[in-house]
Amino acid sequence: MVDARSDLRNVRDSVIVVQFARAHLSGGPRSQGLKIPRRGIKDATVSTDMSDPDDGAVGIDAAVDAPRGDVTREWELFVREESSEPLRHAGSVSAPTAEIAREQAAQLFGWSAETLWLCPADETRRFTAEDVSLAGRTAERTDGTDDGSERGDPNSAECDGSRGERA
Amino acid sequence: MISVSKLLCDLDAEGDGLRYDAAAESSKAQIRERKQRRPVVVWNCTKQCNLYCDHCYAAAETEPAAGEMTTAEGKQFLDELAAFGAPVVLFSGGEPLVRDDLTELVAHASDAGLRPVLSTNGTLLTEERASALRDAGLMYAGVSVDGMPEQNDAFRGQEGAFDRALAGIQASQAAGLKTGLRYTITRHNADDLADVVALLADRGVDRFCFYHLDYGGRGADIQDVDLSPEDRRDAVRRVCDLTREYHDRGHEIETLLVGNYADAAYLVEYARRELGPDQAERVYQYLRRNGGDPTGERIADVDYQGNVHLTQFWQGYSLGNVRDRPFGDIWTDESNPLLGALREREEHLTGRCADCQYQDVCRGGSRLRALAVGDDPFGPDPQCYLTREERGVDGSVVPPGPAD
Repeated sequence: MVDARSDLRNVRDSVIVVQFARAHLSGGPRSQGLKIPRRGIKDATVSTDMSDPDDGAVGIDAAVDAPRGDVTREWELFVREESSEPLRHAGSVSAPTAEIAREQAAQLFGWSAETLWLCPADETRRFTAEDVSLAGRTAERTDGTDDGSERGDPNSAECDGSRGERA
Repeated sequence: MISVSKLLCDLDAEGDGLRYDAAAESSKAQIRERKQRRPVVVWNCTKQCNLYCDHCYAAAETEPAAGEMTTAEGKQFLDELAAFGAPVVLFSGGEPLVRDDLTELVAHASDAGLRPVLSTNGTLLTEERASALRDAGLMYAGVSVDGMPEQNDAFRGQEGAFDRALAGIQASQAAGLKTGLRYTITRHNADDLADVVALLADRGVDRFCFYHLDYGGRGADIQDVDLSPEDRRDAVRRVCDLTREYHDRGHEIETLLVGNYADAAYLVEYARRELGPDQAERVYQYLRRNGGDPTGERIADVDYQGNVHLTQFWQGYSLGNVRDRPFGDIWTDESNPLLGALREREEHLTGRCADCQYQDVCRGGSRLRALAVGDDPFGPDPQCYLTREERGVDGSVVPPGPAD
């Protein structure tokens, strides 16, 4: 089993930005049958404040705080295919370190993206409107009534304590 | 999944509507129309398992994991799958029977219009539990048996696991559930293949699912025990031969090949050689309708934390999480370049898959294995065992399929 905790300490509080060399993008590498070489990727680590935002957001204040990984850390992945386009969320990869996350993301999206951002899922605060999250949708369906036996509670201390590491 | 029994022996089965658009010609209840275009969804409803298997794609653990969906969340998720039109939900794990609310969730899925089926190691499946699941609407139980006792127990990390799995199969059958046996082949258990088929025939098991090893979870760590191309070809030939032999003797076992769509091309070649060109044409047309490897299209996976994956084996990448938005919204969001490209992968395949004449029945095989071995999600599947002649490269004379 991988014990990622020592690696996690090194990358906590960081967002990883991966920028692809422009030379590999024009004309579309896939259309030319090219595989983007690893050395064509340069990365920069940018420190950022990951503390909770102010409570000023109106209506987007339902937290989705169940973990997205346990033994292996999860990394939210954002990609941009052209500089004129917005950065889009493109899922997440599981990796014990930022460097391995970068490699995995580049393998999956390097043929298409010019920019990759990787954010530790356990340092990403997710907020939605009240009825958007699964918890909110569930509450809307059940109308707050107890519909039988219940297993687990994703918002309990037991569940949100791991934040990407096994509790 | 490729049904050898359907294609070579014309056995009628419930899955044919999904696999071959063959609902109209079947006497069995079939999934039709809109639902045929939606994925079968594997739900790893827990990561916890009472065994610790060498090849577990979910890297299951013997202790509970954080973030498992609650009963209420699971019900909402199932409602959303049904609203999206998913035809089938496969309760998997970990070991799904460790969830004490499994029967309640199966009943909810059934009531919502989903076809609930179960993948289990069988060791916790008592007749009482199987009967409750049947009453809840469970339609099928697949039990993993990876070889005869010595190999299976070594693989599964627990002495006696084989006997307990057989007891689970017996309990499922006694409850009247359609019951199958799932066998993942490696070099360790390849010699057990004929004995496993004999066992399930002897026990009256309805279905045999032959799985190729995929390189996800702990399966990625045991690539060294995967079969050589020659041994894989031989194993698939033996599955075809055994299926026909047992059908000739009156055992109507449903036999499925899973996890390597080179098998589709091999089946056409096998039919051409053993049954003649007309049967090969029929097999080829069914497989064209089946459409090849289903990753990101006709199969989906949602793990115990709600992360959506491209297949159940591909746990290292997630498209999104159902706690953030409904499954259907994630699955249809083709702004994700990888998801979009997988759905038009013919334009992206490289290497031996790019110009293979069987691309339309295989679609490059496992994208996860291509990624695991070649670091490229559009590279060739390392498990492909087709010859250059079968692939039709360099002006080889074999035409694409038997439609010549």
